[in-house]
Amino acid sequence: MLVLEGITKRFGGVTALDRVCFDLCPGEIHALLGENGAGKSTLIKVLGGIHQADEGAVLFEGASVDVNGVTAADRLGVRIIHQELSLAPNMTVAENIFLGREPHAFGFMRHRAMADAARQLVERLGLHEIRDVRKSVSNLSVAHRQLVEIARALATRARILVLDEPTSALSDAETAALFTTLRRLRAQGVGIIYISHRLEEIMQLADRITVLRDGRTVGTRPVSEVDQRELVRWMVGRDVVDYFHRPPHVAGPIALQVTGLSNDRVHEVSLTLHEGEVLGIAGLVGSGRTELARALFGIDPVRKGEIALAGETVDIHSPREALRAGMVLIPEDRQGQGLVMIQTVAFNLALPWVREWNPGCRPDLSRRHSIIQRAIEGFAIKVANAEQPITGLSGGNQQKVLVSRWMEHRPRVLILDEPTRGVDVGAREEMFRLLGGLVREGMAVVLISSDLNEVLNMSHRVAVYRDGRILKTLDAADTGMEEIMTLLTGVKTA
Amino acid sequence: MNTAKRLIPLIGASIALMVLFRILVPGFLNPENLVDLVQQISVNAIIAFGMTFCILIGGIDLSVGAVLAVVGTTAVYVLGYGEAETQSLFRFFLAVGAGLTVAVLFGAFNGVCAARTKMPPFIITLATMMVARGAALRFNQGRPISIPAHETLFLGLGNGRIAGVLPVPVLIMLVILIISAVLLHRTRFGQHLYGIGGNREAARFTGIAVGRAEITVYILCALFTGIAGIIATSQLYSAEPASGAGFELNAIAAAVVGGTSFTGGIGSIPGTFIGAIIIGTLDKGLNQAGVHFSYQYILKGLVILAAVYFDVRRKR
Amino acid sequence: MNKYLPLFVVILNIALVVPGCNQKPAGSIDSPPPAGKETSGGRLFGVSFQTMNNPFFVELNAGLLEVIEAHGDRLVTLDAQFNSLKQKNDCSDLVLQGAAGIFLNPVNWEGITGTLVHAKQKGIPVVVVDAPVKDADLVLCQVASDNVEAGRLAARALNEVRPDAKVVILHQSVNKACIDRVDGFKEEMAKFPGMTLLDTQEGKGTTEGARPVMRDLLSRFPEVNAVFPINDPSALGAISAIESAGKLDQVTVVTVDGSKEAITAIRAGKMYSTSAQFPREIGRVSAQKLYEHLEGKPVEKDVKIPVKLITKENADAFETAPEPAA
Repeated sequence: MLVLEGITKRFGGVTALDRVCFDLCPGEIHALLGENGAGKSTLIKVLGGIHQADEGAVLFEGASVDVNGVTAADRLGVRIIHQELSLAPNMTVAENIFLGREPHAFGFMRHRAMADAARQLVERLGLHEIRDVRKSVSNLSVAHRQLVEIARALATRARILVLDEPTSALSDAETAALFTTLRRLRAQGVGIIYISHRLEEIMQLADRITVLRDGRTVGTRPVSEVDQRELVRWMVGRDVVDYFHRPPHVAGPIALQVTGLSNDRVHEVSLTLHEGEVLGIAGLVGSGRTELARALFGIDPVRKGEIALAGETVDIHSPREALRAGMVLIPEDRQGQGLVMIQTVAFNLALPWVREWNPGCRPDLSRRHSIIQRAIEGFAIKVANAEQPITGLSGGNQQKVLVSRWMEHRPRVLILDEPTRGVDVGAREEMFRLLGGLVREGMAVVLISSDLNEVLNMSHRVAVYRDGRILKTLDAADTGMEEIMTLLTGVKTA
Repeated sequence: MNTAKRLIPLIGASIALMVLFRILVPGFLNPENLVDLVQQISVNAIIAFGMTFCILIGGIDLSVGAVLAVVGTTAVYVLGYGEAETQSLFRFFLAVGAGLTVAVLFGAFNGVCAARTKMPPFIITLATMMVARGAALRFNQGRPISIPAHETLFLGLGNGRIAGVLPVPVLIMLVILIISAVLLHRTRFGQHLYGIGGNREAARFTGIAVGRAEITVYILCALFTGIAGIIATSQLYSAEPASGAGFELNAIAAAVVGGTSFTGGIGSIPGTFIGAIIIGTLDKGLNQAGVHFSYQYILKGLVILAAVYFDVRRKR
Repeated sequence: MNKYLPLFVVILNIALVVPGCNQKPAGSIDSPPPAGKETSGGRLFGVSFQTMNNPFFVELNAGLLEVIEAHGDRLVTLDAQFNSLKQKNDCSDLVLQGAAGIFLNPVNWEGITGTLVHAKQKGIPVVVVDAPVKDADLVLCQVASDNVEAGRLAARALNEVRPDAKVVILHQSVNKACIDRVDGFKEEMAKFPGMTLLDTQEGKGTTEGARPVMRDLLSRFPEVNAVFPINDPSALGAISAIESAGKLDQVTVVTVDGSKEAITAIRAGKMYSTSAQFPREIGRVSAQKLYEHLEGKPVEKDVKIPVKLITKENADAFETAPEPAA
């Protein structure tokens, strides 16, 4: 149905795409795989008419077409769902689905007609979770919002649906539900291009896989003919044996002791964390994992309970106090809560330590420089120049900035909330290797992730978290994914 | 470092303006005219320095004009209280102190509201602007209050010249320029403000006391406004309860022309200073070139628009 | 190089537009000649008004321009927008440029003192127009309508139709001219024992300011049957409040100014009288006085331009020839 032939795209002197070939059949899920910066997004933007290819041709049903703008792509029936959702949260599901093409009579909104049409659409697509189309989007979970996006994309005649990292914010159960939806759409003849880092899910879902590396097509294969190992090698260009480096479990004295921590979203949470230990928190999206981290870090008020660091009870009302007690939280929303995106790499690295390099009104620039250098070298952050804008860094390197800056003084307890979201395999591996080293030196880590694989392979113990409570704490080494999934969802998975 | 580079086009633009006006108005660059230029911008520049802090952290202070009026009226009220025949150092300091205290109170209120509630600063300061204006108009039924002629110290603040050359307001402005620049560009506090303005949440996660910094910023802005108010009052030989209307917009214009970003996180004190110079040069130059006042507004509007347009473009 | 583009565009912008406006009339200049001093013709004069958002000052400016252009000189008109500090700065620009003379309509009658001292040091004569300044010694002369007389005329006119008037005054108490009008009004009122003053309120001298104040006064004092708004704009505001209260026939309006709008209101029977001022005449006389001074003649300190009462009888005649009666 769709063939991209020898697509080349240059930005200034940089060749983002170099003679990329790609094709898609109707009723097929074709996965597009590659590390950050491999050219996936650029390729999608060419297809979506946002960028124009410098060379190459786009063939649609055998005929060459000129995708010279967003409207042209739209006319071909190409629908793209970007990583960042673009819904109006204050409007209802139906309003979002029909945003910009509302049914109207002489300019007056026909609310009832719109709701009916939306309901029919949702039923037809089998998106039962968002059947209540009069619900405000702000009340929906991230997973359900994604379904609204899909419904909106398919409200008009769609031939090709492109999903860019749709599961990065979804839990495993929600991912499974999404996959069911996608398979149904495939059966309806929609061609789906699916972009993801997550090899496991691609193996489950896709019919064919194309891997891009450094703007070139490495290869296209039916999924039945590849194994995961091979894909990783294709992506990073070398063998990655195991990107998890779980340090040996040498539990030292207690680093963090939480007893009966409660607030609106967290209920009676108690946990113990030893030095040199990684405690994984496995929970679905919306289980209150992030809220637990926020309560520990003094962002959300705590109603009841006690937090003790290294045996000393501490009173934490603000991140400031948490930091002083030796606790660091790397927030889930890297750009929204972690980094000052309008600033340079150096600014972000030096910000927590201003007190040290500028105690009065005479900044000690060499001190600042050495703090920055230590952080860059410590986590092998790939920067041309520390004073470059942080926006120029890949997701993985941005995440490294966020973590490494706290290693100037090693925190007693490091809380990582979804640390690998949008981080490619290579950077992920490197970050876990370095973290493993720090854990070996005695740092205690709380690892919150919706990637069960990650939680199981990086932690020593796993706390199964649901509805603001720890259900059970298990030894990671002798626990399987199955078991955790069962606990998390409350049902036995197939 | 980075700021210096940003300033080059601004400095260039101000020099170009001066050269242009030198061509249109002979004698424009006479030392006397230049000193007068700096003295004319001093009130606006002092307010603009405070405004820069506010805008930098993503806030705004619309109440400065009204606070300026209430500071002036308070100070002169205290100065004239008891109708003393001679001047006393004690009363001078009492008057200035009373004025500045009022300013700080307004600033603290703005700051606490902005930091501790979810009300947007635009609305908070819009409200305090009205309150302050009303408070100023309570004095002397809204009529100007004269400064007694024997209060030469107070009158000297706005009209005196040091060694017969340097006007006192200019000296005060330079002192505040240096204090603000050191505060913003040299201290931890300043670095924290850039962090807060760039990403408030991220700043909180790095352990910056965001609320405390915000309150400090609004107090600083009000304090600078208070100082500007004392100078303006002295320059006018009287406190005008109705004065200061629109001063907030002039201060914002200076900050913005000087490269302060309205979304927060970007801006500098030297930039604002040059912004104030550019606006002052325009005012003076257009006056002296005999441009009709209607065209003056249009030109000033276009210049502000052009400055911001190119600044935004440069940032990308 | 691209980053210096803003600079060039800004310069270009100004360079293009400034000569453009020089060709415009009304206070602009043809070309920037040297800041003239002693040369006859081509001398620079400046005038700073508290606001140009008032037809009165536009007329006054026209009067100044008439005389100054006849001498082959030029006039720069500046608008202080009720901002004393801006007025001070505007005037010091004129002083430093070596203007041959400055006309000043002060925002704040003592706020301008610093500038006057400065001008005096530089030997630049200042003529104060319409509203006075506090320190008369610092200026050449003050030219204004006889505001006290305008107030007296209004009181006298009111006495003719309502000897039993229960009056409210809509004041603008920051303005010296208005203070004079009210003083004159009260002075004359004292001669008519039948008249009583109910209240004095701030009407801000504007239509928008006066309307709500008048509305409140009407409900507070049901017996009110006369109002003295100190100028035409506030009178129009008062009339609109009276009209919506349905009391047009009960309340007599007497005021000061003599604008077109007021005369229309008089002819419609909504206003009884306005004591007409002659802004153009004030402008002409002011300019003449300054020229007399420059020629070395003595000039009297206080120049009063007569006012004239306008009622329905002479409204038509006045409208066709809005000049002071010979």
